[in-house]
Amino acid sequence: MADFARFAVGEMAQRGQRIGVIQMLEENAKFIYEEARGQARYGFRTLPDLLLSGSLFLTFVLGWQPALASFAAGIITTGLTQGLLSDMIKRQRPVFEKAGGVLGGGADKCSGHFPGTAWSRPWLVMGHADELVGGSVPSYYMTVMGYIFGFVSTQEYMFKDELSMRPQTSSWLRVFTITTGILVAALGIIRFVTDCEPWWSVILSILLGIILAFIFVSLIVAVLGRRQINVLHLPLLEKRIPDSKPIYVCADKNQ
Amino acid sequence: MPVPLSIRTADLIIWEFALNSLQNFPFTMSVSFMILGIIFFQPTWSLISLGVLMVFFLNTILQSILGKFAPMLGDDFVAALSVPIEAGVNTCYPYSGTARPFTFPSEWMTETAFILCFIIYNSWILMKKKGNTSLFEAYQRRMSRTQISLLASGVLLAAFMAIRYQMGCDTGVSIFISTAFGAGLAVGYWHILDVCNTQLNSDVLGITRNMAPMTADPEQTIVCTA
Repeated sequence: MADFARFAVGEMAQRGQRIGVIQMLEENAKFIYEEARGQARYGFRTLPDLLLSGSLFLTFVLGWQPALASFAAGIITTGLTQGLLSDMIKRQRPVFEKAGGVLGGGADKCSGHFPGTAWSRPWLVMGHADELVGGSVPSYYMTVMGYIFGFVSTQEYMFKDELSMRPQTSSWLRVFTITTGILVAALGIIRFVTDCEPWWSVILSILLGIILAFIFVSLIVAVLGRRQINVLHLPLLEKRIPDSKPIYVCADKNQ
Repeated sequence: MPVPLSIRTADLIIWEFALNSLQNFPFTMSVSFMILGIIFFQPTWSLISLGVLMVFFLNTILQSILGKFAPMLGDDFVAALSVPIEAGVNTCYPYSGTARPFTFPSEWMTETAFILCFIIYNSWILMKKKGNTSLFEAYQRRMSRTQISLLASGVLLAAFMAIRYQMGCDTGVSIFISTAFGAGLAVGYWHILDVCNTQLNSDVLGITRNMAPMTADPEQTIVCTA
């Protein structure tokens, strides 16, 4: 009888432990699921600002990366241009107004900004601090996404000589460019489906972003050189040394 | 002389963006490492992002195990380790609305320490390496990059520890232990990535990758001799 009681108690304790472990695993799984869902939603909503913030941090913690600094500066330029353009369009066509002028992304889940005032609208914030509407077309979110696609696409064009010597890197770059294009298109579709903006605004914003990327990259290359946008860290070919003579001279086979 | 409203507003814009960036740091960094790693062909960055994900899982399991046992040691003990976070919008975890009843080890601090200590350890290893001093300019450039990286990451980590304590998001004990835990995981993960001892997959600065010959590339660049 005593043995049976001991066995029963032991069995119950073991079962209790099993239930405890199962309950703990269940709680963990539930927490991870809720957390993943919440973080994915937050990440999607604030992606342009996350990428800007991340590239600024990375520029410094990775010991000053000029290409990342240029990339971040490009997002800032794109954001400011978009802010100016959308407010100009809003003034001409008030139909493109939307709530969130000064408060920016605070309550607007589609803005692409962190909660709080929108940094891409300083003209509006500084000039009309009491205005609570802003322009909706082109959108900040998709213009920045268009810029990112444009920035990646320019790499192939800007480093065509270097890439012609590295076919594997060149093919990888093409894969990444296409992947970026697909990602940007997918984000555009999600924004259209979730009623964040109409389809024509998605396309218009992406096009504006691509154009701004080409202008920005061309300006940077013209003023500071190609090294400033070399995100792939390709060894650059220098055609001539300062005294205008070729760096590499092939050996004469007859000698 | 009063500061014009426009300048104060501009200050506010920059301040709010900076504050959001600081509060979201581990989340921002893991998302950026993942996306920028993919679009800019930097495999190490994407691997760090996966590392942060593993740290998150490990931290969650540890929190739930310790959360079961810590109350047995008394309320004072729990209060010294954990600051409970309620569900909804909060400044300690702005990217998450989930409730956290027991927050030791601190998820935020462990992930931040993991990212920054990975960079610090990587820079320290590269700095110790003897360079080819005949290529003095390249050697100096490498040294200055590792030094800036080491300094920036170290200062940022110390600042984050102080900010989290000052904001009351984590207790002092939790901050120190979580940072040490994150640092240990970072060093371990760095060595896992460096399993071949080539530093091709562990070098977050991309210095080794740029110096290494492209063995997988069948076409080598041919340079004629002068």
